[in-house]
This record gives sequence, structure tokens and C-alpha cells, in this order.
Amino acid sequence: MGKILDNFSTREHSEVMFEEAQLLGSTERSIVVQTRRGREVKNLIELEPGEREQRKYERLFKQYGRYWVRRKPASGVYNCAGHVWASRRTAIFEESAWEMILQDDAYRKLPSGEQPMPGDLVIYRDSNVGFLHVGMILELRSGITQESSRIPWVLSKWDSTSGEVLHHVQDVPFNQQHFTFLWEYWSDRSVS
Amino acid sequence: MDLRTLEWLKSEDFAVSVGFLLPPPALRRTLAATREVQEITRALAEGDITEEMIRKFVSSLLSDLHKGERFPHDLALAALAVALENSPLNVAVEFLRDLSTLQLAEMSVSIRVARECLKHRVVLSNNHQDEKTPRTLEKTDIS
Repeated sequence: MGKILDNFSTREHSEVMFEEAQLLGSTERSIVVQTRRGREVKNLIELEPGEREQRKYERLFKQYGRYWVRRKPASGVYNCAGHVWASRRTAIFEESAWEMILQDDAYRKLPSGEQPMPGDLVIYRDSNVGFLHVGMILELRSGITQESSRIPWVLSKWDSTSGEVLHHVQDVPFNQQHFTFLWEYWSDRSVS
Repeated sequence: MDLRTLEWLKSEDFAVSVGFLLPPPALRRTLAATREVQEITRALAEGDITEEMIRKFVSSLLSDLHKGERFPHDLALAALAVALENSPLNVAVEFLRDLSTLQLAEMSVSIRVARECLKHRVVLSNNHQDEKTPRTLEKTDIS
């Protein structure tokens, strides 16, 4: 589709703010996603990134991803939460939805000292703004010494226009975004 | 003050400086910390950016809106939403209300940031019941 109603482009500006956007109606698409207890999870199927978003992703990868391993190039449809909880079919944005899934799907936060396993989740959060990101642990790599605990490597989709990368659990871009973040491991495994 | 700061919001350099698109509450805070949003907030407060300028800017952005494609200026609108969050200008209320009620996949970022800004603006107005400035905003169903 070309420009939204060409006659608008000849006017200085629309009398009603966002009139051009309102004329499109609703273009949001979602699918049925439910928690294990059957509660609905709000979601949005995101559009594919355009050239501009792909260029941005490559610049961010260059900036932050020196040690990241690419799994998949920039793509749309899902974000980090959609990756781990909706099988890459849609994006889940709301913090309340994340909390609901953790609760209804019987996730538990691992206590310090309990080693995460592949398939567990790592959730990054900031004390002021809440959730920042969720990724899935893919493997545990050896630490510096034999006595060191093993280091989780995480599969992440940073946002709904980025690609997927494998990265060290602490090798994340939130420091540079001025967050004081912490990370937590969550598992659907019962207490071992 | 001219329109250059507003125009800067459209740049890829600005988008890269903001980084990856975080969940709306976190993105709102990231945007609020940018030099550009802070400059626009100040310019709005001092009258260097007027309602007319905001309307023209938004109108110019929307000329690039195409159905079925990500809106290239989505982040610019999100940044403007944060800058307008606590502005007493009528255009701020109109901007946040109208943007937050859209249901467009093309503009998913700015719509959700605007909803977040509205939540905080409502909280602010509730804490300033005595104010006579037009801060008060009906809480809209944005679910």
C-alpha cells in the first residue's frame, strides 16, 4: 500500500492528531495463548523488521555483540517472552503477563547456590522498572578453574526486531542502557 | 530552539543510542534519560516548542506510515510521548490519548510507551488534585 491517503500529504497537517493512523483501523493480530491454568495471555504478532530495523540491529550487534554467537538474523513476530513462552509465534509485552505465566506454569526462582540447567530461564530485571528481558539457558560452560561454577550461556532475542544470539549470561546490553539490573534463574523443574 | 531536536528523533543514530527495544516501562525510562528527550521536555516547558510545531512534526512523520510495514518513526513517536508525558499543553493530552488508543501493529512501540506515559501522567494528576492546569486526564481503557 502506498502513502496513506495521498490527499493528506497535500495538507499542511491533519486537524486531528493521528487521523491518518486512525483511518487504518485495527491492524493488530494476536493468537490464543494461555497459561497452564487456562488464563489468556495478551500478545501481539509483530511485523517483520524493515531495512531500517535490520541496519539498526547490525549496528547494535557490532556495538554489543563481540562475543555473541548468531543463531538467527533479525526477524519479527516475537520478542524475548514470545521466544521462551509462545514458541516464537507472537510477542508478549506486559509485565503482568510474564508474572502470570511464571505463576500459572509453576516456575520457581532458583535459590542462590542451585545451579541452573539447560532449558531453565534467566530473567533480567531492574529494581525500578521491572522486567528487562528473558532468555533460555542452552548450555553450561566450564568456568575459569575446575572449582568454578559452570557458566550459563543463554539464547536470547533482544527485541521483536532483533535476531537470536547465544551469549554469556552476563554479556548483556543493559549496563550501557543505564540499568542497575540483576538476573534470576527460573525453572519449571520441581525441587531437586 | 528549532525543529532540529525533533528531527533528530527520526535518525538511526538516535535509535541506536536507545538500544534494543525493552518492555514499555523500561523503554520509557531509557527514553527519558536521553539528551534529546530532555531537551524537548525543557523546550516544551519554556515554550520553545509549541503545539503547532508538535502537530506539524507528527503530521510529517505520519506521511511515512504504510499499512503492513513497521512505521519507521515509531521510536520517534515513543520519545515524543515521553517528552510530553508531564506537559500541561493540550496537545500533550491529545497526543497521548490518541496514540494510546490506536491498535496498529505498525506502531507497536510508541502505542505501548504512550500507554505507559498515560499511567504515570494519571498518577501525577491524582497527586495534584488542586492544580488548575489541564493535567487531569480521564483514564482510558487501553487494554
